[in-house]
Amino acid sequence: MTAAEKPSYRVIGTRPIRPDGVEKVTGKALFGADARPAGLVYGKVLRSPHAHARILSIDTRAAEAFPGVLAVATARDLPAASDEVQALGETAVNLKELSDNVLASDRVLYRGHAVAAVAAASVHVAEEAARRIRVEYEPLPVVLDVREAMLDDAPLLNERLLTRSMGKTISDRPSNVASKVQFVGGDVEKAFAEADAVVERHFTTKMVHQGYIEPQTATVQWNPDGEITVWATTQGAFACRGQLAEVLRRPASTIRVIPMEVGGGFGGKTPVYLEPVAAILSRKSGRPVMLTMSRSEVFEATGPTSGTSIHVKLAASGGRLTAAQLDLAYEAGAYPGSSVSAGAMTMLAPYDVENFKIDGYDVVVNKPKTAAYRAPGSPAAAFALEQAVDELARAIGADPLAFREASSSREGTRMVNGMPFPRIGHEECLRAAMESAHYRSPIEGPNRGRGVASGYWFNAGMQSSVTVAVNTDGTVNLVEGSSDLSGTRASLAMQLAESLGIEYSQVRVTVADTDSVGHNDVSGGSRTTFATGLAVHQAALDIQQQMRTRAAKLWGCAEDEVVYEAGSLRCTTDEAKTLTFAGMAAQSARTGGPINGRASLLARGAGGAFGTHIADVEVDPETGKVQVLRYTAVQDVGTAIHPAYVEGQIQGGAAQGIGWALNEEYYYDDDGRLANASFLDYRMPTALDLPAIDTVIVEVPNPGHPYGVRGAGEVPIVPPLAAIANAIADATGHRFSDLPISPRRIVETLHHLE
Amino acid sequence: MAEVWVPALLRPLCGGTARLQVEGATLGDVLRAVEARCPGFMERVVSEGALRPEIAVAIDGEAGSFPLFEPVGPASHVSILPAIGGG
Amino acid sequence: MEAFEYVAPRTLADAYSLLGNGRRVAALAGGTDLIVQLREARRSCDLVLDLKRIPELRVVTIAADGSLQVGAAAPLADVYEIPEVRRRWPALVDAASIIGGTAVQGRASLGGNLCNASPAADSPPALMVMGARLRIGSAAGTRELPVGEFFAGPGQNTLLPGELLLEVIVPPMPAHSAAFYHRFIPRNEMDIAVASAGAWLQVGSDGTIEGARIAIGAVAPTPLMVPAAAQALHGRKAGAEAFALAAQEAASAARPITDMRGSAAQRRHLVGVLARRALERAHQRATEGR
Ligand SMILES: Cc1cc2nc3c(=O)[nH]c(=O)nc-3n(C[C@H](O)[C@H](O)[C@H](O)COP(=O)(O)OP(=O)(O)OC[C@H]3O[C@@H](n4cnc5c(N)ncnc54)[C@H](O)[C@@H]3O)c2cc1C
Repeated sequence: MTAAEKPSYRVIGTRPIRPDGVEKVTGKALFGADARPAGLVYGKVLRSPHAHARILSIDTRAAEAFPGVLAVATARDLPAASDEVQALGETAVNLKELSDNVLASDRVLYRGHAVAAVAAASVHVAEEAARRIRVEYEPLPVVLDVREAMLDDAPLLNERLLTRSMGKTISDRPSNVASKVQFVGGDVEKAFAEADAVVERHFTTKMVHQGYIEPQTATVQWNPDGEITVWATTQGAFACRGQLAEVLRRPASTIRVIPMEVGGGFGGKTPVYLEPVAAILSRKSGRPVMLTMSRSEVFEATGPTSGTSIHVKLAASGGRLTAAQLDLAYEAGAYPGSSVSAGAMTMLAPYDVENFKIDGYDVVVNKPKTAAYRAPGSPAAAFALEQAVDELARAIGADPLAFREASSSREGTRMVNGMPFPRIGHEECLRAAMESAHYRSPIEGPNRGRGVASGYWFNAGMQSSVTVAVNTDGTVNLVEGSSDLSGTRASLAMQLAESLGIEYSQVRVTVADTDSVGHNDVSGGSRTTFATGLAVHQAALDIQQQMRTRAAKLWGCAEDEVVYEAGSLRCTTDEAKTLTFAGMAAQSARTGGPINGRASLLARGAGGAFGTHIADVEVDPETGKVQVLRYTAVQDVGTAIHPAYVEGQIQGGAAQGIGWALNEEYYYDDDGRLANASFLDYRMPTALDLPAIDTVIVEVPNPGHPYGVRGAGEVPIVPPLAAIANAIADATGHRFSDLPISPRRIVETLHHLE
Repeated sequence: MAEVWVPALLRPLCGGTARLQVEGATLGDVLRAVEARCPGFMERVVSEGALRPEIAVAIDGEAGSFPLFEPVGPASHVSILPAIGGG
Repeated sequence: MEAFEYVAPRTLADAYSLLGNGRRVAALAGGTDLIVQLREARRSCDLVLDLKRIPELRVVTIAADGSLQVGAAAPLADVYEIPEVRRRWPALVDAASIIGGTAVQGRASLGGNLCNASPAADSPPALMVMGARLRIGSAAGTRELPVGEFFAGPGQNTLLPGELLLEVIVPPMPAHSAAFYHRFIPRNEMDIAVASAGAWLQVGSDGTIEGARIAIGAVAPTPLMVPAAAQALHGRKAGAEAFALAAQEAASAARPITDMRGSAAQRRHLVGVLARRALERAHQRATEGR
């Protein structure tokens, strides 16, 4: 969009300091582990040393007798859960599986699976007592790899698991394949037969973790009257409450979840792990109980994203992409529910491909149950597709960005599920990338290469509730319930200030607990600035309407003669009659009482978004080390409410994607032990491993939002895996189709080591 | 008439057709109209009066787990898709 | 973590008297290995014996004979921040300044790095090529041995019951000689060596190699000296050809394993590359200003 077309805003597009900024940089903000209810005691979870085993017996007597122990919990303390599915924001969870994942009842399905827990006055006592719990296991064969798990003779995780597909069971005998999705359009065979060029390749990616700094922690107080209070580090206090209510079989209203500040989530702080266990320990001990995971517990027992195996066959004709045959198998971990359907639906999204056949499989393996991780399912799919697209562009001698532009989706293009795209911005991203100083600069020097890649994410709407209280001095209090993971207090306050025509500094924002605000879905799916922003805007309209009603009465004119504009009320028929927002607020007691705006909604109109990234790398062919020399991320965000925080999201996503591309992986031994369950050996990039990441914000406003917001947080992790891989292919002449493209893989490949 | 995009795995019920034109003012009407042409379709998509948890629907580009009373316009586009799992 | 007793004696004699008596005693210097191991229940003990209050274990001095004497519990930063050390023993700084990060280096000691006996530890190959010796003490007296003879296997050193490491002695570097140490890590900081190599070279005025030592790390159960590499260099002209031969010897001496940090094949390959590059850098240092 050109500058002339862009609406001029007063607050949107500026870069004020976030409301939670001072508390956070001065160390005063309270995170989950800072909860200190009176009488607090600590717990420790005992976890399975086996990746797959039947639990024959659990003897807790020695732990109960250990001096200082206050309570011991096992699955027997949990009510029997029903086998039903609960919507959880972008995710759906089966409650029986959720309950079994929280405390295993009869079988452990991955190493680190929780089996029992102990509460004591000190965490060290709890740990020593937990070690004294005798668990008798019957080890079972282990299956760790997605394709091996799909074989006919693979060990089964669940003898009752049959394959489901579109509302029907499609297998007659149990397997590890929980579900299958399929998308078909056009005539793939014919398109391949008539193609100018065809590329076919197999790709794999390993499980990777979100790597948030703050480990999972939960503090629960279960009072004798049945009232439960939870201090949680969660992306959604209501999702936390909902899961807890189901697992514990308690009415939702008896549970109050207090959302503490969150030290990173990226999708991983959506399922509950510790809360139900801490609740049981609190009920049994009569004390508030805090459970905190160690880093290795976080790696072994919380949800990473799927390892994948993806087969790609693409065809080009007449200089554009014409056909795609894709086969995706995603590891769900211990229980069904990988992000394969999202992978299958996003994979071709950047392109208008007439002929396609896509098969996707959701497969259980003896590893932790996967959880959401930024644009779940899409990065691995883009890793595979965008490398094949790159190869195809080379095969027909086209510039990789120009080839993408020629094949690009636009408004009206049908996604593989038949949905026509509304106004989208992929072509704008490609053009901005082509025009960027980075892409125009030459890439020179030995062992250097450049790669580009695009990526897509749906972005979500879902449910939000807010209230806005107008104070008599003209300031306002916004009470919302979206966990602030990324500066959303600021982006919401800015939208409220814009919609009311007041200053940002006049808005104070509180993220409230579940007793103090209506339902809000999780902060996930890049939805908060979009959907809670929509609610904030509607609450502002509610306030405007209440003020117009009162002004009409005050002035004795008709309500439709009163307009609310730029923070002031005026009467269209009498120019002398005006009131500022603050002036009206000051009169609220005399004009009918407090003015409170409210809105609750199921947000429609979420705008999917694209990004295109450019990476320059240098590879040391002797050691296999890759340095990222320069990196530019272009992204359509609709409208950047707070450009600095949008840039931060884009840079953060790119950083995580670069880590995923180069070094991060769950490294298992044959018995299913995660050998690198620490930040030392799970090699996320440090500040020294990344260049400054340049951002180019493209703004193609989302027609479904009053300010055009699309959502920004997830798209930027989609392109980096392939952008880096394409750059390495350019630098080395070798295409690496398995992640991570670690120094080990590079030297083993380039030097033909066994 | 609304256009319904039949997912690949349900096309065998509809004689292999990917797109159908049907009448219906609500999602429920539209699905019942598809059922009339493709017997067995409804039970794959709906259970206990609501979309199955594993199924989502997109109406004019808006995807979600809509109620069956959701209005559908005369020129609307309706897609049946898998719910986004694991997200 | 099991409960244990903690004592911080002020004298070596007191420390010796606490060793033995049938109790499992763990000496504590910086604690950057020990505390992690205790907390993760990878190790347990009855008594933690803190050595940091014993003055002679904390001092760093340059002796009259020109050698550097580092108390076993002196923090790494106390060693590498001395300008004289930086000038005369740069290879020691190469190693000490990459162990962990700044915070770790304010605590971690050379003594702990050696006693912990990790095959991937950074200081051993550097100390080995510089010809460093260790002074070891017990109630019965003291003994000395070359660093290279200190390691028995992963996590195992050759201290006898009742003994403590007292001091690391690094001799002065002879004229026209210099050492260099480096490692390979996939990231640029906060990582453990996948493979490492140290090299020391003495070069005559005509460029002939008069003395050489190569040591490699993370490619065998202990850090290794590679005498064959030194022999391959001796008497040859310093340069690509000689260094390549030595690198080959280093790679063949390696007995690496495959684990989450790297594969055996990768390590064998890498250690050759690292040995060659270490020789190039040591040569550069030895001939600087000529
Ligand atoms: C974040 C982090 C990063 C690290 N990075 C590196 C790295 O890059 N490279 C590397 O080599 N190491 C690294 N380490 C390991 C560790 O920091 C080093 O090995 C360090 O030098 C150990 O010294 P310390 O004084 O802390 O030893 P301590 O932990 O106090 O002791 C280590 C062992 O030696 C024994 N011991 C100590 N002193 C004596 C003595 N005088 N006599 C007898 N026994 C003794 C102890 O009982 C213990 O078994 C890292 C550690 C951490 C936590």
